[in-house]
Amino acid sequence: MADILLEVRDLTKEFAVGRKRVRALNGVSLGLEEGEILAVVGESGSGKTTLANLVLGIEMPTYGDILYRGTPLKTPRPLHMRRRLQYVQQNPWTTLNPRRTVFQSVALPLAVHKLTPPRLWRERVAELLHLVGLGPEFLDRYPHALSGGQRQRVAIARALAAQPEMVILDEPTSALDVSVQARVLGLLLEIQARFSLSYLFISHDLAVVRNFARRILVLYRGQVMETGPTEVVFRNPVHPYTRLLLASVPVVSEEEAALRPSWPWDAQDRLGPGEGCPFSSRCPWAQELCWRERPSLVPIQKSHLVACHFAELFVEEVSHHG
Amino acid sequence: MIAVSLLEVKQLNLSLRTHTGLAHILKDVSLRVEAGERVALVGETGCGKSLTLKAILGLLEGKGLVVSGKVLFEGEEILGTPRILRLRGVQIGFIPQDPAASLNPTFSIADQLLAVVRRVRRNLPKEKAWALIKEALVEVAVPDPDRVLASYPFQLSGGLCQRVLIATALVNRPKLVLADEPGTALDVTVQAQTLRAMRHLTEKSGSSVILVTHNLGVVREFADRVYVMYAGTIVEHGPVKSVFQTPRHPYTRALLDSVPRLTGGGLPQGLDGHIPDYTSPPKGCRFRPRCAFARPECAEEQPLRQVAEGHEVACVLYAEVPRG
Repeated sequence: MADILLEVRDLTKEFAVGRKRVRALNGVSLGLEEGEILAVVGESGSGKTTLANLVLGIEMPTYGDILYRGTPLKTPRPLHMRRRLQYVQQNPWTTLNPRRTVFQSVALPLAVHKLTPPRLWRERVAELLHLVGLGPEFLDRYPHALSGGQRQRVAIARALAAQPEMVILDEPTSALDVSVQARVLGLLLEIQARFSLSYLFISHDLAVVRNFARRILVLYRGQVMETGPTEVVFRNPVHPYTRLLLASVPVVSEEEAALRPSWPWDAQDRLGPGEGCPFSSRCPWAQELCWRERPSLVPIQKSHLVACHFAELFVEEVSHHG
Repeated sequence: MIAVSLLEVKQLNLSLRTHTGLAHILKDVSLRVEAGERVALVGETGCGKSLTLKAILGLLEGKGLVVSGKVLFEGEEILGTPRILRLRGVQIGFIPQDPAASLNPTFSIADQLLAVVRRVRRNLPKEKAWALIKEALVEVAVPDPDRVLASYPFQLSGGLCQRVLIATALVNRPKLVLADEPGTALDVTVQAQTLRAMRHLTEKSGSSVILVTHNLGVVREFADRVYVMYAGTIVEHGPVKSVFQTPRHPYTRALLDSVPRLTGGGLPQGLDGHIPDYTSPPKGCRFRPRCAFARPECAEEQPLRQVAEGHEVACVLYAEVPRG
């Protein structure tokens, strides 16, 4: 088994909202192996961006640990950690400084981390641009002259300039058209294999995740609902929230439609969750226990974990007999 | 008597004066919507789908535009006529894209819904009007409608705002609803519920819908017929089933092939290149520069040719197929 690169234990982040304290992240644990792609899936308010910010050291956890190769990460992150851990953000329109040329943006990590002598910067940046499929004519262009897809490519080149070990990808293609999205995702996979990078891939698009990540972690209101190998979770989604997510994906073919779990759409939402399962207000199967007690994440099968009191209801018959 | 379509757009051309010259955006866009039909207009960013909607709604007058063509609502011309002003919000409803930005932040939800109701029923007693708007919210599955009616937009989630907008567009039971990417700004579970609510309601009231979207999955789940747009032209249209099972135009095929599948099978290839510069679009088929099957004949105008029942394609590859 490969070494664990990043380990997150019981990570919790509270924000003060007026007099109340809101838990954006509530006891999340995960491990990212070297050379692995782990997808973190969730909707707005699930805490996926907070998770990215905590790992990057942009925010301080309320409690919980973040370990990198077994060593707790210091905040603020030392320079060598900032090099190893890179970030590609969601919005291609705000990710690049509009007053810097592509060359200036991509050369910045080279200067900060002293990776290349200044006289070779142009050569190195051209090389990095080539890697992401952009020609040297882009060197002196400003972001406003680039399309969304081209900007995301520049952002990827900038992350690669630091020669990272791990990249956090926060919805890198959600703002792009499908034809462009496919190209950028293909590029990311190619780069991942070539430099054996580890990706923490934050997304809300399950169809993308299915084809991009080896493992998946489903977040809802700051808690892990289900996690496991992507193929297993898609074949046998156990947590009602995962089932709702899958049932909601608009698909383009009959085969995909057949794969989606059924969902009782007419069920009404009920009272908001108290101490219990965060999904209990939307869950058609919620019982009193669900409102009272938060279920813990337990294995259904090896490496397939679910946080639901009634998980056995949704485990397919096949896995019982087979 | 010849049956008249609810809405017919004929040879709509639209150009925009820019500082780099005249941008020829929409070229000969023709589409029709029958009563009770759900039609989708699908294409990528910048293909002119929202502009087509705005042209139908008459929201594009002035602004350095050159427009030609016809837009017939129940057989009567509405393009550039004052008639559209009487139809908007009454016979033709509109569901905008961004729910949070499309409601007035200084009025309560009740005020905004009432204003729409009063367009048609000016003298409706207050209690009856109130009951009507409350019912409108219940229909789109808004929980606790009384609280929502008393709220201001900023107090509601994006999903609730979107449902309020759907209710607003449908409260007067319009014959036609134009929806510009409804639910795109929402979470996938909320989007699914929103689309279901929209389908349910329009079915109940017998309204026709034109849904503009970039999401092919949404098209398949929602619409009866689909128009595929590329760079301001309709490249293919037909019944959803026919177009999704046997897409003909190379662009439609590339677009469908770009969608990652829930069943797995690896990442799709995607498509190289980008949409042409509208100030000097390629002659003939506008997809020609990116098309793997392009031939010299593609530089000529490609009319829509029927390839199956109600399924037409504007591509030279299908020139040989006889009509009918």
